[in-house]
Amino acid sequence: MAMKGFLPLTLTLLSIIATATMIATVLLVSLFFEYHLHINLKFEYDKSYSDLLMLSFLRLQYNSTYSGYKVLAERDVNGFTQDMKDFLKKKIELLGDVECFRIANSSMIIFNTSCSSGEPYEYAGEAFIFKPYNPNSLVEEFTLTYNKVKR
Amino acid sequence: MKSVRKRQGKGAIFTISSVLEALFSVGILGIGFWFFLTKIVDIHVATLTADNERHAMNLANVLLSYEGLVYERDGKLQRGVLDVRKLDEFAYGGRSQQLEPNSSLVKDAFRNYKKITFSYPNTISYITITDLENCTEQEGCKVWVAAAVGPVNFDENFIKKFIDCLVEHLELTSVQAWSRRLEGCGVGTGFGAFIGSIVPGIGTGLGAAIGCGIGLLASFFDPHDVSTCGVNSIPESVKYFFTSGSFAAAQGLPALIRLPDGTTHAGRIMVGVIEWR
Repeated sequence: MAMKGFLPLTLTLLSIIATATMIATVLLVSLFFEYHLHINLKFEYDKSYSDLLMLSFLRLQYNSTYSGYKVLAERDVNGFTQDMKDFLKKKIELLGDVECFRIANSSMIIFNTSCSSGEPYEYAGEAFIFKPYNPNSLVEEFTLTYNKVKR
Repeated sequence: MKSVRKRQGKGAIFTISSVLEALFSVGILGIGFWFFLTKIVDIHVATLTADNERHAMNLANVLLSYEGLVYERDGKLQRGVLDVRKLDEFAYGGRSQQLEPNSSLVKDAFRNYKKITFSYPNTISYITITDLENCTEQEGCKVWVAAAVGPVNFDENFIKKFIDCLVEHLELTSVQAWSRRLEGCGVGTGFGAFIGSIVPGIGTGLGAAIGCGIGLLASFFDPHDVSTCGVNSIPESVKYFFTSGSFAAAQGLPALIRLPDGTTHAGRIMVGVIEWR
């Protein structure tokens, strides 16, 4: 007698579970799709931003003869003075709305600035530059890693 | 007797519970269907909006290599380095307190827009270039604004379609339609006569006649037909409107601005695309 009431209850529970699963599936699939769209778009924007920041900083005019590119490419021959570092720091921070950054090649850090929280890690742009007078390799790969100012 | 009534009551309870269960199932199915459709529409809009944002980013990148804007040395275009002299010709120069294009700047951009052929079809784009090293506390930073209009793919027959549709729905023999028109004429006559009696030189009679004519014209077509024909005649290319506002339009991309004396300033290019499809 007591078992008789179980069937409708079980059916109701099963229906509720099935409905909830269906709604949750639709919701999750759509959320995943929208997230995928947004994350792809953000990736494209960040890549474009980083590449343009790298390009702009290499094209900066330090003085009438030296560009940012030349400052970095000929640093072993002409030196990398504090004035050059200050110039690059000021310009990169302004150009990219950057809080801190690190310029490095494949084996060492060339120049970095300090962050309020740890190391720069959020975004990165890369470029190959021609390095004359270098006996080991005529091409050097540069990476600019930076964190943006939080607003 | 008692057992017969009891049995009848049992059937009624069973019927009510069945109806309630059926209603509940229909309700659940309806909600599920509505939810599913809403999500499909959401995804459709998100996909189209993503395209719009991508167009804004691409256009900003193209502008950074555009020969009408970019500094040229020894016949080579310097991508990412914008020439001030070309900027002055290309866009309207002003000052702004904020990096995002404000309403007066956008107004200026549209007032001084240049038709650039490489913009996306069916789009109007507003371009803001800011010199971040030429700023004062009172006036803000130096900015250049411009609006670009891409090739417009517009179905020019939509007015003809609209008129054809109205003519198709025009009822000349229906009693209801004529009574509506007479009603319109009557209302117009009343208003016209009143205005004619107030305004010297018109007179009540002439005012009533003009009012009747206007009322007749206004009620000549059924409002429902007008709206249906309007919706059906809208060109396919203007059923959706999108405005980019997240990446290239709000945060912009880094660029250099080269002054005539050879110095380079840090700058920012922002491109917003208004797109219809």
